[in-house]
Amino acid sequence: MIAYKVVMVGDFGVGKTSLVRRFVDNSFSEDYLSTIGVSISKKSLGNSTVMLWDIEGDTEFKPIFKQYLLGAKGFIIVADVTRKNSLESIQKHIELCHSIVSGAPICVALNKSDAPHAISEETIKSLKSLSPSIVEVLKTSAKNGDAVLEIFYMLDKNVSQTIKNRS
Amino acid sequence: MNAISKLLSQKSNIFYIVFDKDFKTMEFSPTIEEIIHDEIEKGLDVRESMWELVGLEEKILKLIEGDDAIHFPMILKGATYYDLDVETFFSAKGVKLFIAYLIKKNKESLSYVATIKEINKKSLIYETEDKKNQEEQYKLINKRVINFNVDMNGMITSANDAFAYFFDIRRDKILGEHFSNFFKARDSNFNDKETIIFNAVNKNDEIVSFHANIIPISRENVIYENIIICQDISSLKEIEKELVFAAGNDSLTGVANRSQLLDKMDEAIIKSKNLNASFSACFIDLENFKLVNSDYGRHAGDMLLKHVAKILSNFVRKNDMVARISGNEFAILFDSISDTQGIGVMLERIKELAIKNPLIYTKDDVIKFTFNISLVSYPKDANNAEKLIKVADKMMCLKKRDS
Repeated sequence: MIAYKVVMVGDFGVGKTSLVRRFVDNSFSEDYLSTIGVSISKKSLGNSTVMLWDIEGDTEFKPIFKQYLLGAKGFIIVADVTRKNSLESIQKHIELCHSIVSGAPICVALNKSDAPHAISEETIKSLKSLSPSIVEVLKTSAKNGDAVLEIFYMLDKNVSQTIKNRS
Repeated sequence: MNAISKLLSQKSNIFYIVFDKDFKTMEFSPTIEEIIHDEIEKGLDVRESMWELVGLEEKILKLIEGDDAIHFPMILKGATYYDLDVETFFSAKGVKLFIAYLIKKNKESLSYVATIKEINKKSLIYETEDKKNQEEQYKLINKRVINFNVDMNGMITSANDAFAYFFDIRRDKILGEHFSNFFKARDSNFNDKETIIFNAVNKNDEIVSFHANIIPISRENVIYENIIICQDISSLKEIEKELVFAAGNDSLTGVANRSQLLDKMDEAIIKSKNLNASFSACFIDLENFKLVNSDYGRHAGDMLLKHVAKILSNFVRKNDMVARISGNEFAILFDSISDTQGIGVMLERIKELAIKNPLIYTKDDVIKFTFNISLVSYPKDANNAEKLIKVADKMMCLKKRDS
């Protein structure tokens, strides 16, 4: 059994907490309660246990506190498909993650995909090409559960394999 | 060390766990079970009860080599925030151990959290609504920007949704029709033109003006079709109307200004010359206006001017004109009243207007006012508009001097 840390990174209000809640408790709430600081959840996935760090989102006046990213084995960068700004921030978040843990695997969750949006396959391809560390880019919906388990399992598969290879 | 820590945890909001380099739990504060996730027991892996330490193993072990203490602020547990610090120290037996402190945040921090949450919530609403507004605007523009293609004979070969929406007609009913069946312009062909102004009647029977750009499409240097892009300029026409109004009207009261009065008097002079007729105009001085300004302030003065303009406008007939020609001076140009008796009655009634309609400034302040009126007639007093006003001014001065 291995235990490792994954940090949810993204702009404020993109649905990081909702993805964690859907993944951990299979629950969802429409109410927006901004996360301040960090909330840590634990989830067992077969042979691994993931400590999910749901951190305060990036805002114009309050950047992400880098220290929270220390010791992470993987990252899930979350953006909101209905908010262009949050999609444009993905590159910045990749750079932040790699400034703390160089080359760590990243999955990108394009969340709120249940809402009308204009994300094309080309956009997804271009997001994948942002870094060789990107394992997968998936359109997710914490509201209806679309691709939520998939994205966490994808990252787990990659991280578990990396840890096994090192040991 | 242990005694101090125990005392601290009893007296304050500090919780701690001591562990060794193998991450085995050695000691913990008696109340720590309140805030940790799983059961805690001496000898068990500290990471079982403190998930925060997972992933930090290397960093923690480096503390022995003198690295700075690890600090994580604002960790949410239940509804309470804690700061986590991990440090190293020597035990009584001289062994290097580690201690993780969880320090409960004070009330100020909680009010800070509430503030940031509120800001983020408002920012999110703003960002989402702003986007919605942009989409609405985009849809609106798309509905207004009509474009269609015409061949060299002016027959429509393609049209967008906005075209069909505007005329409330199916697209297949548009194709093959001559564009002039929909848009009226001075010229019915586009040769050598880059822009054109169209008028069209929409589904609500409203006339809408369009500014159209004409883009020729050519093949082997021969133009075979034109793309017409029409932009609704009704709003610009509205602005034009407003500018015309502003040029001829007093911005405070909305009645005609001196310039419009002079134009109207010039027109009346031409009409009178042609018909060999005469006309009259009265000039009204609002007496003691300065006192209103000084006693009640400029706001009251402005209110009074608006009030006077309103009562005069309500009093005159449809074709008469009320104008404000200077600070406290108004004029009425009477359309086709020239007989002395009729004018005399009119002037008396105007004087009565002032007496019967004082300005109710507040519940306790009623501002009374009176008019000083002079009357001029064309061609008796002068033969042009400027001179008529000068005569009226002179009469007004004489009346003031006499009173």
